[in-house]
Amino acid sequence: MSTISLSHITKSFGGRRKVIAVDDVTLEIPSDHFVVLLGPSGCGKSTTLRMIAGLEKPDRGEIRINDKVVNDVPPQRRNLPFVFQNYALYPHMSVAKNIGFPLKMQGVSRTETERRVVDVGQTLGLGKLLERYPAQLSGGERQRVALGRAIIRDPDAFLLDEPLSNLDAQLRGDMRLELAQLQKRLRATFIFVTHDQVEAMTLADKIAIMKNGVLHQYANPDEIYHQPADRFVAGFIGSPMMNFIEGNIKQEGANAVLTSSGLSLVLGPIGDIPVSQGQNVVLGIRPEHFVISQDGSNELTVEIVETLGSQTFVYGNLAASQRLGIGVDPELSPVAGDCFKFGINPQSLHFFSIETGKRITIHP
Amino acid sequence: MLLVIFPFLWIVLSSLRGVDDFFSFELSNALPKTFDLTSYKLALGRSDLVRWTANSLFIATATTLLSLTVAAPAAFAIARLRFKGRAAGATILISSYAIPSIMLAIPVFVLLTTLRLSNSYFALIILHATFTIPFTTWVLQDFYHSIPADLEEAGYIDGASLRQVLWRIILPLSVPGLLAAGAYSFILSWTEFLFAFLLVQSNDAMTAPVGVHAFFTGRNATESVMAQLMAASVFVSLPSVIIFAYFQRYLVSGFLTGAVKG
Repeated sequence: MSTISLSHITKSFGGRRKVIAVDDVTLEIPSDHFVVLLGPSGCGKSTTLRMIAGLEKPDRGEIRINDKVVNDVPPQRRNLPFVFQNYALYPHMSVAKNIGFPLKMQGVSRTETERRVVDVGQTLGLGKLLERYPAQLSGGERQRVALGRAIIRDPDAFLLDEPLSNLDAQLRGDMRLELAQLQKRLRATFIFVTHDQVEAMTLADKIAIMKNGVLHQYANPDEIYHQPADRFVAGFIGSPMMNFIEGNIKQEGANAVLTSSGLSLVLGPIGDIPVSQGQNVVLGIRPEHFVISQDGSNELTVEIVETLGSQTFVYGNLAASQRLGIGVDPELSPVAGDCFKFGINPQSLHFFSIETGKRITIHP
Repeated sequence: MLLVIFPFLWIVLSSLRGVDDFFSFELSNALPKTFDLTSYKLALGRSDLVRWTANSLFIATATTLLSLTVAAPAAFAIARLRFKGRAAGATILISSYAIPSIMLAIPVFVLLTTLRLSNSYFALIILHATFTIPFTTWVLQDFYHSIPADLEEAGYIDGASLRQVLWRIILPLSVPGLLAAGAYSFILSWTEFLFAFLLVQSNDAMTAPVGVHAFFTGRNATESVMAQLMAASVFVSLPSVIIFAYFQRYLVSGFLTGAVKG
């Protein structure tokens, strides 16, 4: 079983014009967990994974595997298989030779290698393809071979760098399920890099969200969704994106109201929200958390309708420059020009500091 | 195209005409009615053409092997490894190819004569390698850039050392590049005249181009001599033409790989 921990890891690239790829990241990856490093392109997630693999060396900080510092241990001696985005299968070797290559490097006997290759081939449904070459395989089959090459080593942890991004949507969904099953079956630590929040939310036990080399939040998917640590995390997770409205909190009767130029949004009883009267905040509310009701205190005129089948989202302007997206029951079949009254459940509101973007959780 | 092919075509056609009507060549009568191999028989019989060709074959092959042995790892280091002086080394290597051979001819002649290495195959192989190594290194490092770095890294991840990655992953994938670079190297060495002419005086050690030159220099330009010269020229060109024809697809892909990955 493998516990991997990163302590204040920093990595930069370039000479004079230095770019900090990973900035003081600290992460504890517990044994047997499926951890996803998530973030937009260039956020440092792949560099972090490559440092864990030993393909890059951190400028500062420590990487530990089972409490042993491995900063200077080369990838050959870390026993951490790495599945590359483009699979990196050896084009001149058959599927069987590709899968068996790590064992060959370990000096495992030919008969033992052949036996284990056949085993892994059967596990991954590659039994009939073992004599083929990578160029003769489909994307999904190549992906399986890459996984096979990782599994055959029987390691404690697997590193996967956007392994599903080259597959079409259907196959990606299938492979996602297979990966989840595989991780449960192998009871191994998986560290998975992706920019796809659906992959992250569906696969992960814990998600580390990064931007510009900085770790913004490291928590389980539920917490990330319901208690985003800052405005970036709140906006990155969830589709359609969370609505953000900047304004001042005022009290009208027992209710808190968010006011901004030409806008007044009734939020609910002032005691239920973590901000005080007079405070300037960024309010965040997910489209799916509005409550459509004739008794609602707020109103939106529909301009655009997005129908997704199981869900429908309507968009309109709350004030001159404040666009709002709201999830509605698809059976209402909204069209442009419809007017919806809506209320807000104070429990599903998020408040962020205007200055720092950090989540406000308690009364200041 | 015609401009490129015409001189060679003219040499081939002339070599196949009879020795007696060499000067009666007219465009309207360009294709010989019968293929007369007398010029070849005379050229091969009266000169050491076979010996010179064998010398050239040996020198070009040895130069090619030496070039690839040095250039393949050097090119890999330049293309993939990060070390101090990498960029400077690469620039110097390429610059050395840009220096005209004639500038080096006299110093090299003096040096090798002093070392008593003139008239030897060894000297020519080393000399030819001085310009084939930079060239093949350049061709190969461009080729290595076209091999995804992920494959090399996958090798390290799978437990292979640098040597094993080179031997088991990079080398098998480099075969087209090595063939292209080797063919260039062979042709460069085969066609080289200046150093071979300066260094080798003994008839036994002459390369094919120098031998042909030496054999026909100073002889009266009779119809027979000219026809033999054409036949000898075709004969010594054949190996490089065959090499070029056989490896043509690799040469093209070698160039294209470099062009695309630039």
